Amino acid sequence: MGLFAIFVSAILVNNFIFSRFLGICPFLGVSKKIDSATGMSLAVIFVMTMAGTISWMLNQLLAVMGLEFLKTIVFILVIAVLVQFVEFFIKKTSPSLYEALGIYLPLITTNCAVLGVALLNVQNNYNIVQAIVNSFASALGFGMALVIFAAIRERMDNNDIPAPFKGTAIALITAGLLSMAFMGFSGLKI
Amino acid sequence: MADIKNLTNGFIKQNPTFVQVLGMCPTLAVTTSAENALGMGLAVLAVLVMSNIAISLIRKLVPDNIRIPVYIVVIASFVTVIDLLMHGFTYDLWKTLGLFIPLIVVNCIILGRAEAFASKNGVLDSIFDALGMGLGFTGSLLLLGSIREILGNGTIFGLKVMSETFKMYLFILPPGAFIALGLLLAFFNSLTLKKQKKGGK
Amino acid sequence: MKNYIKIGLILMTFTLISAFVVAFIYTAVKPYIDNAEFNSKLKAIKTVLKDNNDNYLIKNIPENSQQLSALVWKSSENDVLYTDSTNAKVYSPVYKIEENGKNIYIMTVSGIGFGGDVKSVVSFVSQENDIYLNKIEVIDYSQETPGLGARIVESAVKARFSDIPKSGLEKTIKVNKDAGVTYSKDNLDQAKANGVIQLTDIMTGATITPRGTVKSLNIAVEFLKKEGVM
Repeated sequence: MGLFAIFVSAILVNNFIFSRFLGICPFLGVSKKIDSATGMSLAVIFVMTMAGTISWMLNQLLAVMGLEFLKTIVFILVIAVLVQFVEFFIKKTSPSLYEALGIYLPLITTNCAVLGVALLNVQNNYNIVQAIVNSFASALGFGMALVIFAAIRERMDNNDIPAPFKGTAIALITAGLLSMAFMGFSGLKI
Repeated sequence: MADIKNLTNGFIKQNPTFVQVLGMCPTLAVTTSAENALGMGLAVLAVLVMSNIAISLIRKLVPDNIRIPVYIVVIASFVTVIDLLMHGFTYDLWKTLGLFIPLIVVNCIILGRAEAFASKNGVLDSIFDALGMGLGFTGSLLLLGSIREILGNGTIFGLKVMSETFKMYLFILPPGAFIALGLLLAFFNSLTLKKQKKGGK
Repeated sequence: MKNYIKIGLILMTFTLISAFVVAFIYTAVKPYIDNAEFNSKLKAIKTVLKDNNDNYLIKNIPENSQQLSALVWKSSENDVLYTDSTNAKVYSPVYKIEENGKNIYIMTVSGIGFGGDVKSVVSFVSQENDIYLNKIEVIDYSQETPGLGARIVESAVKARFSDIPKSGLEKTIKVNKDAGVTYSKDNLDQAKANGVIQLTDIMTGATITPRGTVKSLNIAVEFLKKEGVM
């Protein structure tokens, strides 16, 4: 598969949230305000690209040693360490960015989109360039979905919603409609 | 002291899916049929029970500041074990659930119960808690899976229950997952609201 | 500093213990996993050895791994025997069964579908100068959309991919949507003779998965041409 095809398919056709259902928890949790959604997206894009790349390399190493069955444990540790490291690094170099991302950073460890992309890269037998492109594009798709959804939810605050639907219920139904819109992309011929 | 309340808590009052809204990724992704939903629910249940036991046993050995990484390692090991066992013994189910088996690692319910319950309570209580939460999760998944399978494919566990004409494909497609779960959530909310009103009077 | 080392050591101990436990269980379960993988492969091979009326084409059906490995025709060190620009693949090994003047070629092929590879086992039967595609069994479609692309495993859909005569194989196989034609249910044989897979009537909406499957069939044909079978 060409790099461009991987890129477009990861952002639009196989959008992590709307078609693969990866990363739903932060998607519902941090989408109430556009500001926090943007912060979360940036942090995820960074961590996911790094995690996707590093875990791909480690998987090659595991494959050489015949220890591929340990990959889930290795990947999740890499992600946890990476998140810690990123937190530490940003805190030292750019305190203002750290302020902005603050509480979202530790949450990324349990974001299944990050582990998901690491596993998908391996499962699809991507080479290193494909793996990097796929990780970055998937993260971009995740970020885009998060920001779009936050914008809708900000507007929804002003609407009169029936009591039982308030909160997560209406959010899920909105996500369903968005997902329907994204299904239109599956007709793309790439 | 073991307390049976820890078991029943997870069924309805603290139901992980409909009340706590945790573990949404597998809930939405694998509920395209009742069978897949049941398989996923049981896999989570097994991991949850084992991880709660292990974490409750080691809770005094783990220094506070690295407890989360240790829990994650413990959970990841159990998930790998379940993954291997399913690969060997329930091959077809393992194929269908695919990526979502290793992803049990990052299912918030498991880490959540480890952190909120097993790290503070004895082994027996932790087992009860895990069983309650796991069964609650399995039940919710099964409910959502059955509804989606009936509406979207006209079958339940592969048995035909509805004519082709009434099939609504939407419900097995990704948007249908969001919408079905949203409607179910609203339904449970309205039940709670009614109860509160009655209590208020 | 001392504290960091201590914490690091504790974490390492836990990781090591976990890795040993997992490794132990892996060793114990590995034979069962291999067995399950082999059984599913064998099942697929047996399926494509049957004709449309569910009768076996030949008498000697492979039942275990020795019998199967005796039938290997082409194989390579790496997993992939042949691939093209669309990244469709023919996997190693390809089997060949000879019986009563019939040659049956069985190969595992894949094409890119909606979310990843759609993998199938496919059988070609050649007799004298004629060759036809007998049957296809889709074995991996885990990344296709349930209810849409994943319907590729339904037997009615698979039937449309089977029994394609030589004339159809010689043209590049296409789904009817891409060929721009629609055949009625009674004209399926004519469609197959023209290398067209009529799908829009039974698999509404899905395009990408069948396209991937068609690519995997075309590469299988290309491989047979390269090896001089047709």
